[in-house]
Amino acid sequence: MKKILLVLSLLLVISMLSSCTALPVMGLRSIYRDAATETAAGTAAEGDTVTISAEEYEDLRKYDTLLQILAIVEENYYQDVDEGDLLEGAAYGMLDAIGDPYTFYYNPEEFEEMWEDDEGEYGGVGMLISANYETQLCTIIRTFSGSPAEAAGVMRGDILYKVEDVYVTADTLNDAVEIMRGTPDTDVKVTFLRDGEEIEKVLTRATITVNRVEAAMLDDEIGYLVIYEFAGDCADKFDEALDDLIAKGAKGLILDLRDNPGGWVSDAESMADRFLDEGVIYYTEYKDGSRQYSYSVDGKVDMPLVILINENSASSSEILTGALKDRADATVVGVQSYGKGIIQAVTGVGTEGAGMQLTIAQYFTPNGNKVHSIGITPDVEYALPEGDPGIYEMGDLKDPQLAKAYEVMQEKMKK
Amino acid sequence: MKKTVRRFLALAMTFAMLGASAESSEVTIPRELYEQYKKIQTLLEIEKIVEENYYEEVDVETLLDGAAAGMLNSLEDPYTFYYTADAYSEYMEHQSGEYAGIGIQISTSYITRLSTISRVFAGSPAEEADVHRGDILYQVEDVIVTPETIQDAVNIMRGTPGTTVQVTFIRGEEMLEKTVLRAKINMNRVESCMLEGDVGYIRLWEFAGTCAQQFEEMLNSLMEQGMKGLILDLRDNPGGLVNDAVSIGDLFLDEGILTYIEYRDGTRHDYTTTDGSVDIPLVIMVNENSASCSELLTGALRDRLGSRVVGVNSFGKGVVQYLLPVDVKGNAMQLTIAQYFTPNGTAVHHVGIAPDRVVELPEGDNGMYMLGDMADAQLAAAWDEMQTILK
Repeated sequence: MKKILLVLSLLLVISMLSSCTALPVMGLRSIYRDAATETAAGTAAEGDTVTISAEEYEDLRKYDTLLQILAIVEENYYQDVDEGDLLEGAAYGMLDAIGDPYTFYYNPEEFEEMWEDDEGEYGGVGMLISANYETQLCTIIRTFSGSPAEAAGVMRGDILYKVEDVYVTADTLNDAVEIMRGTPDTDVKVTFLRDGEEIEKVLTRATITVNRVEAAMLDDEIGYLVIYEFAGDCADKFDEALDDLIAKGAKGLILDLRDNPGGWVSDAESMADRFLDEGVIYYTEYKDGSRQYSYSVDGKVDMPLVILINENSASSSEILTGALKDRADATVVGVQSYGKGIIQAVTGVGTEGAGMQLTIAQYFTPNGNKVHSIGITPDVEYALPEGDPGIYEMGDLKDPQLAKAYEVMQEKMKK
Repeated sequence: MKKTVRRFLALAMTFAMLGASAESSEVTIPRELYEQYKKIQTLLEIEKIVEENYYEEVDVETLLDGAAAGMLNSLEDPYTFYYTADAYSEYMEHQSGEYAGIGIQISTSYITRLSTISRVFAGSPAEEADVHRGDILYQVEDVIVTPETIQDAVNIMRGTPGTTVQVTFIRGEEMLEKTVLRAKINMNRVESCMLEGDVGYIRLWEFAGTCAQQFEEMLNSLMEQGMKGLILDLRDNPGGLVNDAVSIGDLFLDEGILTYIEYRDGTRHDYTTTDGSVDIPLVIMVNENSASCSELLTGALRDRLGSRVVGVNSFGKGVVQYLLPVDVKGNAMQLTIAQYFTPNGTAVHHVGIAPDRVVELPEGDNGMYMLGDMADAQLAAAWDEMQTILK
């Protein structure tokens, strides 16, 4: 009873935020009337009780404030509300509050979609987008070959500005992607920014098959292998492509990880293992300081390696690069990588099919180099010339960075 | 279902009293309360996963505050949000009495996400530093200003008189970085003067503090000077307390409804005015920053007195909020609880009030004029409108 009175007196507090708030004195009843009158009635359920452990009760009680807010909103908000949406909002907010862009909640639909994405086939327009959480800009880093985006002349480096009526920021990117996906043969209106100019395009959705690995021989001896993302069956595709290059006579390999945002760590591990004998691929460090090592096994493909990276090479790309640089004498060419040296776990939560992604550890290269917020420094720094958006056919030696990697490889093979 | 929800507090508290005597490692709670707790099982699961596995230490309060903020954000109503206990007590402190700051009033748009200077107080450090109305507040110390961070930015600008603060504005295409002094700010919420032709002019900046009383004093003084008509300027007035709007409206209105609010269930509450009014022609000025109580007062005077409205379409904030604590720890929330309507039943939310005579400021005009300066195109138009009425 005491507590209720306290709350009632505080209610007389007046609100006048700069963004215009009003306090009608009446209406207070509708918020606290029930709580006050039902204190006595609250025990009406006597006899119908549940016994739980004190520990569980302590856990649950932390949520009294949240349940109180839920009750107030359901009773008093000026529009209809959905309890499920409010609780979902709480889950988003809880993980958001940690302030780590890689830790977040998936509602059941999003969680299902996440797994679909991993399979690599979907109805969409066929672009790979990179979101920068600092500038909030979302940049096209790749259009899939044969996709509607490619056909419409969307270019690498274009900024995704608007999808239908959604302005695209790092925060709204998921919504925008959701809109772009859909039934093949339907249209979606997308606006890009290129050199400050707005370019509006109507794209027709199609079934997109994401080819995550591509390979070619650059000459009789030098193989070239691009990994766009560590997802789906890319590890198998990588094995096939590598074996194929060797069969074609590859004596040296240029591994292109530019614009590769990462993906499943296990894929990076199995790829690294192809070039390593027994030893450490990388290790993770948890909050309690404990470490977990990832090991490679015996039996390696022994050939000179050059790895191409750029500012968008992140996460699993950096794990693979770090391992091969430290242990397989790979020469790294290009631009300092992104520096995402933390690892996430994805897990289901609740009973409705929701999920969450959580940063669980930092990883380090075999030699103990930290990657997070630092990235991997190339052995041969080589940026694209200013104004070059880097749009080249796969394996085109007009691509200055690839040409540089090729030159480095030629040197390497002479030794 | 709803009934159960409402009872949450009562249930939790009933048990709190019982719980005091419990000594065993088991506790017995009403099933009804247990059912409530089931709703947060997933959240509890997430909390446990984070506490055990996140790669850095996380404070459980941070998670719970985040959950509360996220719950209210999910309503996607810019006026409904959560205050942590710290933020709330800070906010309450700022509401009481004078403050030390740099002397600007800011209007934040949740649509463009920009915070624009809507007023620079006379004699303030901001005026001294040549801050203009219309400048965009871009950065305060190391905080980039967005609708989410505006309160933090404001908190930084407030502080001990005599100290300075680093503030960056955007004007046109230019970034202006300024070091501005903090000083005691005298917020004069009402200003008035007599214009040519015995036309009175009152500018009301905000519905707060003693504004209703000051307004009445100025109105009386203008009447004594022989005012024939009054221009009421509500431009850039973001609103404030409904009761102030009622008191001011009552000065011009006889018995009747000033506004009514409607709750979700359709029940309605009327705000009424009483007998005895100043009977004088009125012209009301509004602009895109006139919101909430400004719109409520404008709507009432237009509906009931036929007052002419001059300027540009107003902001369109037609919802009413409560600010209320949610627990004994001092956490609080602001919640939109009703929509309000003008006496004729016109909705204001997302619509605003359309002026009878639309007058925009010429392009490039930042509207920084001295009180009653007829070079102000909107004021000149309002004065012209008054002349028509007086004839």
